[in-house]
Amino acid sequence: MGKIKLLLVVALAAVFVLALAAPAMATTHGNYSTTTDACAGCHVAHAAQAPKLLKVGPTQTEFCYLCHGQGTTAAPYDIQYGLTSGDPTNVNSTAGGFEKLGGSGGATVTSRHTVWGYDADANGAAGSWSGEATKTLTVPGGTQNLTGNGLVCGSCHNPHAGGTGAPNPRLLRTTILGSSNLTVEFTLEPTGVTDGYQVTEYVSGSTAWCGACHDKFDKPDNSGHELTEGDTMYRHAMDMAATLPGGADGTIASGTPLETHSTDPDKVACLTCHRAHGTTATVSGYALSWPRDNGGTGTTSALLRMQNRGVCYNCHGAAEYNKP
Amino acid sequence: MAVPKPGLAGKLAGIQVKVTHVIIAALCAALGTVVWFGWMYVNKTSPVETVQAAVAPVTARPRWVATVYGEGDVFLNQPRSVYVHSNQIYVSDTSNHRVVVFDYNGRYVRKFGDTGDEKTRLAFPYGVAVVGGEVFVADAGLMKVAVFDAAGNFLRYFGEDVLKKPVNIVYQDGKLYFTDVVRQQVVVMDTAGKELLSIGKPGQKEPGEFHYPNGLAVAPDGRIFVADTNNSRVQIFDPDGKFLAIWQGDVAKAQGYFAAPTNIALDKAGNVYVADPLTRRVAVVDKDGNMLGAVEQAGPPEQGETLSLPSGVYVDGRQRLFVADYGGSCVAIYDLK
Repeated sequence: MGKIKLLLVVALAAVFVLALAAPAMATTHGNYSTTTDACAGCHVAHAAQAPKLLKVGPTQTEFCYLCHGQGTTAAPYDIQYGLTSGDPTNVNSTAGGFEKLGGSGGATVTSRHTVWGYDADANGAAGSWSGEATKTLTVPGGTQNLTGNGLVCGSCHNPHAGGTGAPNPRLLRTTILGSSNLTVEFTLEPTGVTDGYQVTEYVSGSTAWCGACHDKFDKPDNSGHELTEGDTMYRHAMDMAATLPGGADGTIASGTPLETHSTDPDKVACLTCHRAHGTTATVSGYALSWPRDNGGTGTTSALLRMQNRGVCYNCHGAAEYNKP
Repeated sequence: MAVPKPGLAGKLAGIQVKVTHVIIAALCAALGTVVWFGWMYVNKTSPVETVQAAVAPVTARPRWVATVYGEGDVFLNQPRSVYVHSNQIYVSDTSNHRVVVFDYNGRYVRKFGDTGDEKTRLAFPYGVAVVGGEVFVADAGLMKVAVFDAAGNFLRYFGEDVLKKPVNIVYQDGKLYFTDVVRQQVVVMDTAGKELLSIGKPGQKEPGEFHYPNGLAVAPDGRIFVADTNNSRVQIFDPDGKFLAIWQGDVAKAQGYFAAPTNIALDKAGNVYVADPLTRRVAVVDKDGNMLGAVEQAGPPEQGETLSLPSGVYVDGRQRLFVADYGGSCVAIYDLK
């Protein structure tokens, strides 16, 4: 009798393990097979309307918007209007949107990563892209330029990496401009709709990942006080241990979230202060103009998470720099 | 001996036709003709077409008739859906966040949903249906169904406690049928907002499973055709929601019918028209599920224009096929007779 019970337990355990190990369904973004039809969902070999043999154009941005544009009815992620479908409630995209944040009724973005189709530094809707003629984008804080198609959705996301065991969340690339093995970890939680997940925590790796393009901004501790690595400018240190002061907003929705790490202390990352897609924060007064790394003056909200220089105050203001 | 009562024929035979009878009959015929033509004129419709629609067979070989882009300062911008009611063409002018109404000749009549109180404006209008003189608009951005009066004034939202992200609507025999991409189901409701039936569940493989179903059509016999968009197939259910069939072609032989079908319409012969933007065509399937062909042309044959991203289809009582072309920002119209 004891043996029968043991066999039953083993059999049930095997069924459970096999069920978990079952290969995921093929999707638009991964798990392809030799007979897949998925390629033809996006590409056509001899009559494409956009680079990368995309079936619909004229820009890669517009192509991606077919499923991920405003009001999407084919995916949970509306990256144009910065909204992730949820049940019972939708959630704002933590990366922000390229035109709005929070759906059609949300605020309009004030700055965005200028993917192909959007004017650099423009606040309005999609238009011609300033680098479109040459398809070259000069990366702020970068020692390399983006050439070929300039900056496109695919510069950061790998649309083919959605298979089982994808190493990075949000299909983030593992190789960018020569930097390889880029590993990012986020905490994701289901939003309650099919395929829908929201980022609730930045865990690790985002600074090195952003630094693949913006390498001049990826600086070690104390680089705000001393010139480091032969640099000619002082820059805010990144990836340094930090603790937000009491009362500071550290939420991913509206504050300056630190990377939490599993074993190391919390750290300042690019995403602590900046959104990845676009921001609705506004700037004025002193915050309205700032010298750019590569010359000239910036006048945008620079993808910052909070109004004006609220990101500075949120970490520093409540402490020693806000006393009479 | 009883005399049998004369029948109707006998009565008529007994009537002496007088000149006044002829004049009255002629006047009645003339009056009827005037009323009929007057009704045609008011509704801007063709008497010839009306007769043809009643008697001419459907060929399932759509012939392009016209393309509507808008006029004046009202032009369509990425329309997702089209619907015809009482000789008026309703277009969900999605990226302009409004519904635009044209007459049967494609002349602009009115628009609504983009003005007035900001709280009641449309965001991402999709399916449209007229129910008892009110216009129901499924809005995928608001994730609600907004109801307007015939003049375009906002009245209320419908089914808020039932629907989560409605995309398309069909109204038939007192019931409203919705595709809902958060519930991943077809939801059938009465006009009071009560849920009568839900069909399907989320999934990517088994019959009855949906992955972002965008569109639907209901046959006269009550069968429900669903565009199971991300599963690249059409599923058919009986009026009680029992699964009947899947149409997707022979995928194993690389002969699939659809890529990402978004909406469906049926003609009076039972042929099924499936908008499929990623294949840039409207697939035509017969009532038994055999692929007959596809609509791709979007203008005069000599111009060689083709559909760009057809996402909405509708067949009206005169057997005209209307295609909302999201990529071309227009509605293309075809004759099925």
